[in-house]
Formats: sequence, structure tokens, C-alpha cells
Amino acid sequence: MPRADVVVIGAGLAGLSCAAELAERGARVLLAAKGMATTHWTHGALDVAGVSGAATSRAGIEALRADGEHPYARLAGDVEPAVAAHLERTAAQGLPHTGDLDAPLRPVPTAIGTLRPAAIVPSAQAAAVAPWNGDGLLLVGFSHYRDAWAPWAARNLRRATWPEGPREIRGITVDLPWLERLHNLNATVLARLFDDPVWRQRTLGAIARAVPSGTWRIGLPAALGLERHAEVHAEAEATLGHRCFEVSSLPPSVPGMRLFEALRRRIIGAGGRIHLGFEVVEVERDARRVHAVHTHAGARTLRLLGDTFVLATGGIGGTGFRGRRDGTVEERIFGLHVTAPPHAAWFSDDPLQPHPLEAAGVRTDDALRPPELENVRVIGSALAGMHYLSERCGDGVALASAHRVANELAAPARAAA
Amino acid sequence: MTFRDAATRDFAPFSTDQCIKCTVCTTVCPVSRVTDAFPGPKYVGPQAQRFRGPTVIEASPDVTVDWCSGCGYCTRSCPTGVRIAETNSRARAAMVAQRGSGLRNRLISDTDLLIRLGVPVAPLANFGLRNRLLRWIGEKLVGVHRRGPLAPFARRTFRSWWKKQGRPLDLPAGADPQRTVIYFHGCAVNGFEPELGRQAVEVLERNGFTVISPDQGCCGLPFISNGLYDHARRKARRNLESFAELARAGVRIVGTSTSCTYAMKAEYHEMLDLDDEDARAVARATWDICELLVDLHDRGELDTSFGPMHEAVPYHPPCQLKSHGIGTPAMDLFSLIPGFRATDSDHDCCGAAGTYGLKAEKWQIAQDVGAPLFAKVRAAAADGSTRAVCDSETCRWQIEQSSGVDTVHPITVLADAYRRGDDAAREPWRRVV
Amino acid sequence: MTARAVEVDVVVVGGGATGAGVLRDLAMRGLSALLVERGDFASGTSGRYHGLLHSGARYIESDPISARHCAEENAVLRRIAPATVEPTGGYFVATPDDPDDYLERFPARCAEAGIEAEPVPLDELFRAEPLLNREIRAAYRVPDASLEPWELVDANLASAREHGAQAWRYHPLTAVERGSDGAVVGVRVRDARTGEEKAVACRALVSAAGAWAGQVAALAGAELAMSPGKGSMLIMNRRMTASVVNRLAPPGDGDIIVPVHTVCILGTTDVTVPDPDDVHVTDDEIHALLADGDRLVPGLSGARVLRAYAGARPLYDASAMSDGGHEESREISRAHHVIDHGRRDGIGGFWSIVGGKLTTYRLMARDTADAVAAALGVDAPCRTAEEELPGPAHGDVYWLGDRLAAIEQRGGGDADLVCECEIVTRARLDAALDQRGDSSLDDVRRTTRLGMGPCQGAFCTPRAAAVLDERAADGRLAPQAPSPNAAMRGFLAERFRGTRPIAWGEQLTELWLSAGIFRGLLAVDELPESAEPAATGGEGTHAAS
Repeated sequence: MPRADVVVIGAGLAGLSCAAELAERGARVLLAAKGMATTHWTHGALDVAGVSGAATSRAGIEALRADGEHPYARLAGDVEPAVAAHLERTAAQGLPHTGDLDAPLRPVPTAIGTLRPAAIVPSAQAAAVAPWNGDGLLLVGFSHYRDAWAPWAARNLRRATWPEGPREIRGITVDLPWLERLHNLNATVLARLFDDPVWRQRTLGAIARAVPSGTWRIGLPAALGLERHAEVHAEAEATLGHRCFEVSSLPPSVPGMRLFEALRRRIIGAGGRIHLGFEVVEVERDARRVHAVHTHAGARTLRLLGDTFVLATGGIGGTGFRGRRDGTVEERIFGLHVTAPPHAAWFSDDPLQPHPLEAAGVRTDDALRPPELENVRVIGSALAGMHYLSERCGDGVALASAHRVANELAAPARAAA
Repeated sequence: MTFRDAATRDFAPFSTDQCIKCTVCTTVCPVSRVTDAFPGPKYVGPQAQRFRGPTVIEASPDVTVDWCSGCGYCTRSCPTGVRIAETNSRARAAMVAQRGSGLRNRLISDTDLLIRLGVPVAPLANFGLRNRLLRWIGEKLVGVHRRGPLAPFARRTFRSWWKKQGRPLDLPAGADPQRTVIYFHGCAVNGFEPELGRQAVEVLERNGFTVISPDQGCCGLPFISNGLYDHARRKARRNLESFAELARAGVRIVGTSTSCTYAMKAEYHEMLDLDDEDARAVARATWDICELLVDLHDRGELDTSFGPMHEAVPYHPPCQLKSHGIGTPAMDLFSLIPGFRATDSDHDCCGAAGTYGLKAEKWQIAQDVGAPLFAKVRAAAADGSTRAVCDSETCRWQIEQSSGVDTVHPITVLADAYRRGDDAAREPWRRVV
Repeated sequence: MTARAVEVDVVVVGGGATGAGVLRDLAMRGLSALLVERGDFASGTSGRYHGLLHSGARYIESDPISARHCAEENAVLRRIAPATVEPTGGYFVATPDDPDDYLERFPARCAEAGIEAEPVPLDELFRAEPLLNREIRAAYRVPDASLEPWELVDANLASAREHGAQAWRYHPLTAVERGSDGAVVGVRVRDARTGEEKAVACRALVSAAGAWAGQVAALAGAELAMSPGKGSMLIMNRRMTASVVNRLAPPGDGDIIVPVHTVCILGTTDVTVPDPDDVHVTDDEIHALLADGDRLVPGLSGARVLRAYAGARPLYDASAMSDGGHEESREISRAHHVIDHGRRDGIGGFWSIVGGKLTTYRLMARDTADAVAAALGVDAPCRTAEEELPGPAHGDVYWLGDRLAAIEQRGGGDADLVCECEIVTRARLDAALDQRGDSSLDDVRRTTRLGMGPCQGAFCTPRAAAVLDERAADGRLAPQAPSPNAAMRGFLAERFRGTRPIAWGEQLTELWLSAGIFRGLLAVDELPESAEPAATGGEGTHAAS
């Protein structure tokens, strides 16, 4: 395996965007990951700082950086260029977004009919963040599709506090008998069905017949096509005669799959390499530097040489960390020290409240370097000090930290080239 | 066998303990992408495994796992390290052990036998393979699809050529084991593509290796893929017995089939439970030929006197190569050939999956899985490429038959490039175009 | 609240196996009977045990009477409730840590108790159970089995209903009414979900409240000193053994592995607790269980644990030592006692059935019903050992591969699965809700295994709540049932309760994935108390035609 300038470990949003930027800027980059990850579990909106009470992402960042331990305390300046680059990058791959740091954070409906704040969303969700201006909200689910719950969601939303929300809210389940015979039906399967023009036309026709009169924005299961997503979305709006948006439900996340694919293509297109199924099983290092990581390869290992190693393996959820029975938290690749609350204080009593353990992570210097190893950088959810779920900041931190590191590492690589 | 092994690769079904049900595997499965018949890797893998036995699968409730082609994308995309495809293989083996296997699967798995029967009567056999009526009868009688990609038999096996040439079967006296390699020709080269074998030997010898080819037979992979583990073990044993001592002496085993080499590297252990000294020595010593050449290059020892080849080709890295976890060494080698441009197909699977694409009930699935790849290969041909490249034989035959474009092994390209280099050295005034 | 008057011969308090067994027995003798249970049926000790149908061999030394009872009832239950028993068989194995003298006495003691114990050659043992400790030096095969408590209680209640009895869940006992002679004449219960008070007139009262019998006795004015023995158990993510495996030693902490459905249970600690509702599993118990589990299956402590839970054994100190001298409750007899409070406390028409084991529930019920029937002048004999219990509607639940095989026959697939881990189809969920339309998701879980797999409800909870909502909109949900939103929140909290104590490794990652789903993706924390009631028109399913 040819030596890389930078070996990025992990294929979540942080690792992918870091590798993409490095490749774009001429570095020889290799992204190695055990598997796919968190992109496939998300709702697709870009969570930069959806802090409750914040009017915009920028205001949210300001609120979060006030806590000196939060990654934004040192990354605040990177968020704007990182988000801009990300939106440009994804748009170039056919996945345009709307919104920016100053776009208002507006409540968008979830699949169960609660509201969560969003400001930067893929085009397929744009209709959910635009001012309602008297439009009604029509949520649509499909018979035999177990992960869209439109009537329930609509009745929950009618109980929600939604200032300047829709004129009225309705939820319907459209009977699609042609789904009944299927053995497998999750969001991915549905999205691929929508890719098929014949199936799509028939299904959109059935939905169109069920739409009541009035002006609506229609929330459909987040499965409007994969490879032909833009075409599916456009055709849905044309056939239904209303603006349509996607409502994400349980994994697999089709918006996340699109994002993964867009960034993967970008990395390859820019000359980077990306390999999945590359599980790091050994690290070659001295006291201060990593020389190589070894990945499992049949009966042997594969040696990946690099100048710098970027750790983008996520926290506990992304499987970069492992919580152990003795109450310690282990960083799995380099064994970096993880700052975590004591075992007895890992959880709150209510599963719906933030758990203190969520803020566990690796503490770094301003260059996102851990104290132990000078040619390692830590990005994304492995960073200490954030509650990414309640602060809705995981994507922003991923992008900003990836940009910070790519910016630093690309310069010498380019100079050397 | 203990539970400490859950995180290791000793018994794949234990790894299902690591499944967090996240559904990533369901998004990458090439088979469930095209057919509703296969419920997908999560369902037949970690989910179904909970309903099999704790260690041995005694009463197998499985039916649908048989639609798994074994491509391994699920395993390679799993964020928590579940060996899904390997678990599926075990489940299929349990199903076959319990309910038996049809004649068809035994027949198409037994490539040694097919070669023994087919090569001596190659003209006749190949006529049969080309004859639509006979193929139709074969489909109806045996269940091999009439358009299943079967390569024509060679008129002479690689082994008989090797022996006739008096080439070494064992480590020659005085030879350096480190610079000696066993060429594992596999069934493809032996019975169908002996020319590739000769090219591989040429390339290896050119790079200073003494090439030997001790007694060997089918690696057993077709039997593994069809759940016939006992048959596969017998095949594996023969090779292990023949290679183990040499491997321990430092001789490497090199193959031109990424499928055979992966079987010896990983699947003898992971599926067939062959975990003795011999099996481990052979696994550690087994290399894909491109992997070996890249390793040589990394050490600065590869002969890079490739002549220029102004050619653009689509290259398809097969699934089994990806399971090796070595990246795409052929692409690294191609980058050393002046003027040669290979484009990664960027498509998951050709559909063939060994014998999967031959089966009457699965042929269409295999075609659908590979369709975007065939389209890319055809588009490249329309743009002027004359061939496609792929490391694994059944994939090559599938691509070739379904796209109509000649498909060769990377070694064929390298052998060409060396020849061009030699030509240029001999006749430096001639520009090779 | 208005009091509704009901009149029966006997009121049975406690909807576990014993109460359900008593109800059935009384009903089969022709008595009218009503069972009241404060929570869901089998949600107390019966639903929180390890799932073992004892051969009795576990008690040959510590409690020979109990051992003999178990041996007899084991055979009876296989006969009358075959669908709730998985005949896994069991082994008693001697690890190097187990005492020689116990091993030596074991066969003779088993013979004395009438338990078949057959020596097993070690190579045979390891072939059948490859994960067992290779240092095991001796093994005996005994007729242990795996027993499904929820199905068993359900079957007893169904049989009782066939014989005219009634059973009310979520009806805690609030008062016992006594006549001028001190005898019980009725009880008051409260519908926990509507608050409605109900009065029930009766001639006899049976407390089958197990570990809670002291509280029931107190309502009747009697003192009954129970010594609830908390037993903590761990649910491992998969079966590790095909059969029940016990240590060949006096009962200890992590000394038994019981395969139950898709998982196995590692049990059991034993700690005397003052309050039977204290079923908190401590870190120390978890570590002790795992350390001991490693002796049976090396490496077990590194395998994935799904949940921790505890039940309260209904132990009663027959020697009436109320000075609390028992630290280790294993010393107190597991055998059962029928206490006649008329004779003991001057409260006529009141019996408590205490002690005993789930395996011996029928025997306990028989002895109780014998006493009650005699007092009420009914001489019909007990027939519960002869008459087979009604089988569960979905057939043979007790073959590990059953659910997979059933869905495989239809071509497999996830499309109609609500709970993927445990293969709970939409049809199975609907059937459970058809049977009891007032169920919470946790109640449904007991009869369907919804949410009991690795993801612990991460995927099935919203799907199942949406099914509840659909049924609510169609008027197919009982008015006292929790709202779909409340059911969802309640289920998440309940699943978290059992996961939290063992949240490390994969199960911690799993918990993080579910936090991502519930807080990140679905914002369940914003969910209103209940959704707006279904509108009269405009919503629901639209035909595609």
C-alpha cells in the first residue's frame, strides 16, 4: 500500500470531509475505516448548533463556545468556512443544501410528530424550514411501510407549540397494495423503488389522489430515491402539485446514504483513496509518533504508512470508544486518554435526558493534537466536551474540526508535492 | 472455543454478539438491492443467528440464507465488526448438512472433476457449452442456467504443460525459499485459462522468483460457497499437506485467483475450522499475485521496465479481493505502466459470486447485480477500450459474457507491458503505440 | 368513586403463577373465583425469575422436601403444559472449584429425592456444550428444562376463565372487609388506571402475593413476616449453552445458566431485602455473577450482557424467626406453606400461600385449594394435574428456531416485523392487543417478547406505539389503556432501567444508538403527553384506486 501523507481513520462525516478536503488540496490521503457509520443513522439535516433558544446556528455556536471545554471554544472560526466548503462540495456531487449559519433555526417535524430545530438542510428538506406563510402540512405514510407514522405524527404535531407554523396539520396513510407482497421494506428499499420510474409514477399517482384540496407542503418518508434522488423529488412535486419534503425515520437513513456517497465520490474524484473493511488492529509507534497502523488482512495485516494520522472514529456511538465494565472509557485505536465522568455518574435517570457520559472525549491542543502523540489529530465526536444530541452540534464540530486539520496538513503536503 | 473469541475471527457467529442492529449492512447488500427474495444481511445474519443454536446449528430453520451470494459487503461495512457473510456461510452449511444438497451444487462445485472430464474432450465439451439446445437441456435437467457464464475448457491443462516442461514440483536443491514461490494455479488456470498461468510464471520469474508448482487441487471454495464444508475440507487438506512444509520453510504461495487465495488465507480457518499448524502456516504464506508484486515494489525490488501502453481500461476489483483487505494492488501496479489508464469500475459486485450466477434460479439476480458494471464496461468499449480487467475468473467470465468485452487478469496486462518494455529495449527506435 | 359490587366465593390476590394456579384449581372445583393483581399478570416474581423448570437436583441438600416437590411437578408440568416447556435437559457439572464431597453425595441424594441423574462422559458433554469450561471434572444429566412463565400464567388464567373464573390486572387490593366474627367477607380493590374503587363480596380470601404476602396480610389485620430474597440475574445476548447448566455445589451466585428463547439467563444472587419492590441490581452482584459465570463458560464475562434484573423470592421463615437473623436467605426453606389465618390469627376465610417455587406452583395451588375447598364445604378433588392447560394460540413456542422457521416459510424478510430482534410480526402484536386491549407496551412485551432483543426497543418502540395509535384511532384500544405516547415513554424508561446497570461494551454502544434515535432523530423528549384524539375525517388510510 503506497505511503500516504495523511491516513484518516473513520468514515463518518468528520473523516469523510477531512479526507475530501485533503484530497482536494493535493495531499495523498487514505481513508481507512472498519465500516460505515453514523451518516447512516441521521436525519440528514446539518446539525451545527441547534441549541434550544438560539435563533441561528451562529448564535448557537456563540452560546456553546462560552463553555471553554466545548470544541467550539477553539473551532468557532472554522465553522463558517467548513460549512461553506461542505455545502459547495455536496452541491457539486448533486446534493445541494439550503441555509447557512445565519439562516433561522426553525422547527421541523420528526417522524413521530415532535419538532426539532434545523437551519441547514438538503434541498429535499428545504420545504420544511421555509416560512409556512399559511400553507398546510400534510404528512404522508404508506400502508405496509412500518416506519412512517403520519396520522399519529400529525396528531402529535397539533399538540405542539409551533409559532408561525402550518395553517393546519394532517396525516394520512396512503394505501399502496403493491408494497404488500414485499418481504423486505426499509427506507433503502423504498428509495430504490422510487428510483424506478414506473414504480414511482404509479405511487406518486396514488398519493396525488389522496391529497386533499388546499395548499400543502407534503412530508413524505425520507426515501425519495437514491441514485435518481433529484429527479424523484422534482417529479414528486410536479405530480402532487405541492412542495414536498422528506421526513426521516428509523435507520437506515437515506439522506445519510446520499451524503456518504457524495463525499465518497468526492474523495475518489479528487484522487484520494477510501477503503472500508479496514479495521486497525495494531499501531506501530514510538513514544511520540505513530509510524504506521496495521489493518486486518486475512492471515496477515496491511501496513498503512503515513506522516499524520487523523482519528475520526467517533465516540461511543460511533464505536471509536469502548466503555468498559470497570467504568473506564477506552479509545480503541491509539489508546488515547479519554476524559470521562466517573462510572457512577455516566447516566442520568431519564433516558430522554442528556447523559454526562456523552461529553466524554479526547482533550487536545488547538491543533486538535492529543497530548500523547504529535502526529495524530482528533476530529469529530471523539473530541471531549460536547453533548452532541442535546446541543445538536455534532455535524458542525465534525466539519469544523475536519477543516481545521485538513487546513493544517494540506499546506505542507502541497508544498512537498 | 470460548467466548473470548467473540471479537476474533475464530467463529463468525459469535461476532453477531457485536451487532447493534444499526441497518448499515442492509444498505450495501448487492443482492437485496435487486431482489426481494433475499431478506438481506441483517435478517439472515445477526438476526436469524439468534434463532439457531448457541454453538452448532442443529435444527436449522433457514431457507432464505441461500440467496446470500457471499460477496462480503455486509461484513466490510459493519461498524461493529460483525462477520455477517461468514455467519451466513455457516448457516448455509448447516442447512445443507441437515437437508442435503442437490446434484447441481455438488457438480458445479467439483471443478477438479469437471476439468478431468472436460479437458480430454475439450472440443466436444466446448461444443456442448456453446450449443443452445444442450444448454437448455442442462438447465432443465441440472439447473445450470443456459446462459450461465461457463468458460470453454482448455485443450490441455496447465499442470500437464507444467510437467511436460519439466518444471519443478518441489523446492529445487539450493534454491532460496524466500525467493521461491509456489504458484497456485487454481482450477481456472488449470482447466480454462492456462495462458494466464504461463504469464504469471513469466512475471514471477522475471522478478527473480523460482516458481514451483507442487501437487495441488481445487482450493475448495466452490464447495464452501455451496455449504458443502466436508467436501471443501477434503480439498483443503490436500493443498495443506502439499504446501505446509514449504510454507514453513519460507516459500510463499502465490495465486492469480483472488478467490482461491482468500480461501486459503482466511476461509480455511474461518469457515472450515482448519486451525492447525499447517493451516496457519499456509494462510500466512498465501499471497495474491498483485499483492506480492506491490510488496516487492514497496521494497524497491519490482522490475518496472514496463513499456508504454496507450490504453484505457475499466478495472473491476472483485469482492473476494476486497475481502483480502489489501486495497486494489492491481491499480497500484497499473500506475507504473506508462500511458496506461485503468479506471476503477466503482461498482460493488459483478453478480457471479463463483457459482451463484450459474444457477438457473439465481442467474437473473446475478445479471441484475452486475448490470451497472456491464454498462460501464460497454461504455468504456464504446470509448475505445478493447478489454476490461478483473482479478477473479468467474467475475471475468461473467463480465465478458454479459458485456461482450474481453476481460483479462491484471497479470495479462503486466505481461504485455513487460513485453512492450522488452520490445522497446530491443528496438529503441520503434515507438510503441 | 363509585363502588361496584361483585360477589364470588373466593378472591385470590396475586396474579403470578401461584395465584393463577389457585384460581384455576378453585374454578375447576366449581367455586366462583376472582383474581386481582396490582400490576400486569406475571409481572412480579413469576415474570422475574430465571426460567428454569427445576429437576429438583439443585435442592437435594439444602432443601430435600423442595427437591422432591420439584421432581414430581417437573413431570406434571411437562404433561399438562408442554407448550410452555422447552425440554432442554440440564447438566450438573463439577468445576475445579466445586467441593469433592458434594460431588460424591450427589447421585445418592438425587436418587433419594426421586430425581434421575445420569453420569455423562466428559467428551460427550463438551461435544454438546463446547463452550463449557474444559476443566469440568464430572457431569450429570438431569431433567431440568426451560419454562416460559408468561405463557404458563396465561394458560392457567385461560383455563380458569374457561371454568368461569375472572382475573383483573391493575387492580391492587386496598382493603379487606371482615365480619363481626372476624372472618373475611369481602375486599376492596382499585382500578389503578381509572381510579375506580370496586367492592367484592367473598367467602374466602387467598393471598398468593408471594413476597408481598406480608402486605396483604397486614390489610387483613394479620402479621406475616416474609423474608423476600432478592435474586439478581443477567440476560446474556445469546444462548451459550443448549441445556441448563448448574454447578455441582450448594447453590451460589453465578452458578446456573438457563437457555430461554434467544438468550440465556445467568443466575442467581440471593440477598434478603426488607422490601420486595427493591429489585435494584447492584454492581457487586453483577460482578459476582459474571465472575462465577466464567467458571462455567470461560470468557462469559466478556460476552455481551443485555440486561440485569431481579426478582423477589417469596421466602417465608417457617420457624418464625422474626429477629431477622438471616443474611443468606438460601438457608430458609423453599418449600411452601399454606397458612390458615383463621386458626393462626382468628381471621376466618383467609389463607396465605407462601414459599415454594415456580416449578411447584401447581402443588402449592392444590394444597391451598384443598384447604379453601374443605372450609367452604366443597369436596371436589383437585384435577389440575390431569387436565392439560390450553396451549398458546401460536403453537409450539418452545423451539428456539420456531419464529424464524415460521417466517422463513413465508419467504422471510423484515417487512412485517415490528420487533426484528425477536421476530415479532405485526400480526403477533395485533393478536396480543386483541387479547388484551388495555395493555401497555411492557405488558405486550411479556407475551410477545417485543423489545427483548439486543436493541432493547430502539427500533420497535416507535413502531409499536404507532400500532397502538392506529388501534386507538380505530377505537380498538381499551379506554383504560395508556395512550400510545405514554406507552412509548414508559417502555423506553423500562427498557433503560434494565440496560443501565450493564451498559458497557456493545450494550453501551447500543444505548448510544438508541439515544441517537430517540433524542437526535425523533426528539421523543418533545413528545406531548398524548396525541390529539383522532379526527372525524380526513385522516386514516386512503385507498390507492
